[in-house]
Amino acid sequence: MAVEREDEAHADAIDWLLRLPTATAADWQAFTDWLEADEAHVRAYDALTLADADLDAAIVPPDWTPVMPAPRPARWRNRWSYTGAGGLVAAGVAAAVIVPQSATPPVGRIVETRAGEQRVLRLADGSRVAMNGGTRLAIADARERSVVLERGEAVFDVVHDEAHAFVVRSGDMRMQDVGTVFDVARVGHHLSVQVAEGAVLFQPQDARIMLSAGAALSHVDGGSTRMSGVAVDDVGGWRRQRLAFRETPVRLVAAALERSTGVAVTVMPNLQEVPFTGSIRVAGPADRMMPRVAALIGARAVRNGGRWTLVQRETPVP
Amino acid sequence: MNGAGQDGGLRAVFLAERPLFLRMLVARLGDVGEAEDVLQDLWLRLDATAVGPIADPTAYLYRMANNMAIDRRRRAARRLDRDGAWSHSRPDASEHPDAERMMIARDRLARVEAILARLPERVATAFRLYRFEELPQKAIAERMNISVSGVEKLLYRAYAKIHLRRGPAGEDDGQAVRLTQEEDRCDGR
Repeated sequence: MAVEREDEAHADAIDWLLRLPTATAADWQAFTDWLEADEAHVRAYDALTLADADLDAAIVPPDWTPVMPAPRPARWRNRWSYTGAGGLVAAGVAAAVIVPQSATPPVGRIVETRAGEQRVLRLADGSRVAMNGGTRLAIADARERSVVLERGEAVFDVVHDEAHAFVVRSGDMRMQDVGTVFDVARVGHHLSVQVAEGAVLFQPQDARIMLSAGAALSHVDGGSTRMSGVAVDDVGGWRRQRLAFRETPVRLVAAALERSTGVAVTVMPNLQEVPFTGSIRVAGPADRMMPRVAALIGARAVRNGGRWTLVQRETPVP
Repeated sequence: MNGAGQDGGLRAVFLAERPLFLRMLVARLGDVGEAEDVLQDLWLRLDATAVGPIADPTAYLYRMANNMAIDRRRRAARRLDRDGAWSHSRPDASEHPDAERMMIARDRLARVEAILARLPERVATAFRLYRFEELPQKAIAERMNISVSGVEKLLYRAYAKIHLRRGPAGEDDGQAVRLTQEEDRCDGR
């Protein structure tokens, strides 16, 4: 009977969905056999994976593209727990709190790096701030323990002091550290936060989202927030000449390249929002690096004097 | 490129087992051209993806290929929704959640929560740990102090309730009911 066949296909599809994350090569072949056995199996599995992936959008509103779980080692994981009370809350101890900010912070010393230049600051309290290139930080006096990231990227490794919270501000967000290591990057209105150790509690309007080690957050000023995962070892990878991206729009990949290497990169409009997942080694001369990067993104790198432009593969050189 | 032996190994496995991945993707996507595209993308990513040691490289590549196929299907579904090309020069409205999209997402979550609330506590707990906290089944088993197959059965029940189309007259499907009795037998330590 047709209905029974469909139901059975859907039941099998759930079994496969649950088994595949830990499947062996032999299991995958069995899965292939199952797909080939009946068109209804393909339809059932397809519908199920689409519906299941839609849950990501429910848990985390995507801002440019759905979050696709990459095949990931067990250490690479978002840990959130959901409460019926209407939000995601900290599983374990929250170590940093991000809240939208209103008051203008006091500004003391300004520290700036040129694109491609890196610098490590040691603050009076012993905290370390590793600045990537193209970064501008405003540091209030040492007693304040507060830093404003105006643009660029930095990894904060903060000495925890219960009595005096360390605060990083950027745009309309405020991150309060309670003993964690995290990377914050700002490009225009876009803010991204990646957590290597400890945890961050992020609070947009009426939700509370837990970020712990291995979690990443992407936020647009006054707008949307998206969460995804990051391999803990990849956080602040620019310090080791390696940039890792997951579902990151090419325009932000280009900004990261420019910050880290000093190579000026323009992205053609039709490539700007294309999501890129992968890891790029940023070493060696630009004319070796850029074509490699372009190939990974599925684009071409065109040189114009000192600037590079990423264009779609099929585009003829102007 | 990075000369890590592991990556070279992964590329070698990819080349050796490519027909397997292709067969799976053709079955999955129903289109040889699309399957080839996915493999091409996968190959390019291998060039740069830094990974730690992998116990079963063939399974790892299968998993990557399957995830990329899902990604592709989702984009196709969105394209159908939007009826336009997906790499727009201007970010598309549907990719920037406005209040309406946020509302749809919240509704969906509320619907899932409502279903979970009607399920036995352990079923809901297992699902939340798996889907919201993304814990592997093994870790959930440890945390809930039951066997991995016990976890799988709990998850099956949650998925069946959330995603399975109802039979006639909206009754439960027999499978989930059968599992209830089985699971009580299998939950032994």
